[in-house]
Amino acid sequence: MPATSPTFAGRENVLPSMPRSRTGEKRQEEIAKAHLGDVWRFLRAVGVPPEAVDDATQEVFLVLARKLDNVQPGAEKSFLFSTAVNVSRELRRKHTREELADDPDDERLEPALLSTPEDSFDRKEEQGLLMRLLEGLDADLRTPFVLYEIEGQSVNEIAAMLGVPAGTIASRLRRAREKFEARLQRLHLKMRGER
Amino acid sequence: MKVPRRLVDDSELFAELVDDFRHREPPPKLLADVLQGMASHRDAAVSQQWRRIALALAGVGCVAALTGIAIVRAPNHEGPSAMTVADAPAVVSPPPVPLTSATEAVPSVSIDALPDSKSATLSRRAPVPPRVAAAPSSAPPPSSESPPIPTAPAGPSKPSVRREIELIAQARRALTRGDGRACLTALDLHDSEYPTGQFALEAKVMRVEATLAGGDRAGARALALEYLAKHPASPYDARVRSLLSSTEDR
Repeated sequence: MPATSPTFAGRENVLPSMPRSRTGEKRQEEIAKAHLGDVWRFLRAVGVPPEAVDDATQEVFLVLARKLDNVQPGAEKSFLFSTAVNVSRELRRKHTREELADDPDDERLEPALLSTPEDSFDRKEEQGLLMRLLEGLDADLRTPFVLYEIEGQSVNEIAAMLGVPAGTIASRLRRAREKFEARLQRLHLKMRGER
Repeated sequence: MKVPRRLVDDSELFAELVDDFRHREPPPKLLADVLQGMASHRDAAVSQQWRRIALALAGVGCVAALTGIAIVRAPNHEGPSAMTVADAPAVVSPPPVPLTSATEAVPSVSIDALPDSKSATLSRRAPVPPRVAAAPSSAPPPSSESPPIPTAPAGPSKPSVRREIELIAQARRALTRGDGRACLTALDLHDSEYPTGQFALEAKVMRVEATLAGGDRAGARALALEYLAKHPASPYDARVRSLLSSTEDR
């Protein structure tokens, strides 16, 4: 069709490029395999409830699939954590679960969370001691604390990830550590049955 | 800016908790679900791209058809056209079938109105097969009066701080219900598995209490004195001194 051929030729330049190549597919699969556990644990550590953490992990990797072309090689983990922070924030807003961090003086540290044999630490992940201790920190302190202490990120990396000045992060880390250590100390005392 | 010290470098207990936490793994099925979710997203993106292409082609077809009709209906007296009337049917007649099917597939959606995959939200995301909810673990049979001491996990795993805490908690529960013997059994197990454990001090203080609760005042006194000698400035100093005086008063 001679009349339309030039038009088609012109349209080819404005047609959207085809979706990701096989290289991209392979890359996203490799990233998922390498970092699934990191993201899953991180989401749990920053306060996503156990029953929501699998779905939140899925959401993080769907964002990765959408934005893979913009993720620089070597920056995958940082991108995933940054996305996970956003996903966890969104979940907090949706479910208003802030009460988890409201009362650091609650009885959650009571080691008789092992009050029956059925409640042993190995039985339910949500009863993990580390999670109980972290629940004493509100989100502003908890997220940088987890990134710094558990994930080993630097202050500058955390600042870039959260979009907060490095000095603010350092200050939050100090406050988080103070609160966390106080809870750790209380754990020791409660282990002795003292109040 | 002063960079704070990492607690993980200063607290052995915290370091162990973190190490333990890092060994937690997501459910095995999650990886398959995530990969499938990403693949579904990719398929949806491909499908959307093809739909855009089909719409673009349909649009071109419409333009061509309209052009052809216009040429056919154009008055002859307006002069020669670059495209002859004989060319028109070649443009107008073949397209109807693909053109119709394309427009039926998306009858009233413009290209601009189509959702952008990059702005898709959680609710719009490609369907992901539902995961089977974790079945509730079967509860062990009801325990008798003295709950069994937890046994060490099988396999060549390193000593777990969780197990240490479990043993200490077991000992404390026994002490709370006045079962000094069960408490001492748990403490013996603790001391054999964790001679320098994170809760060694707590175990020693409980041992004094359990011994006293069992009626062995002399033994409790000896243990208390030994504790105070070895740990003169421990957080439990006052507590142990109080126990020591109890052994004297009775």
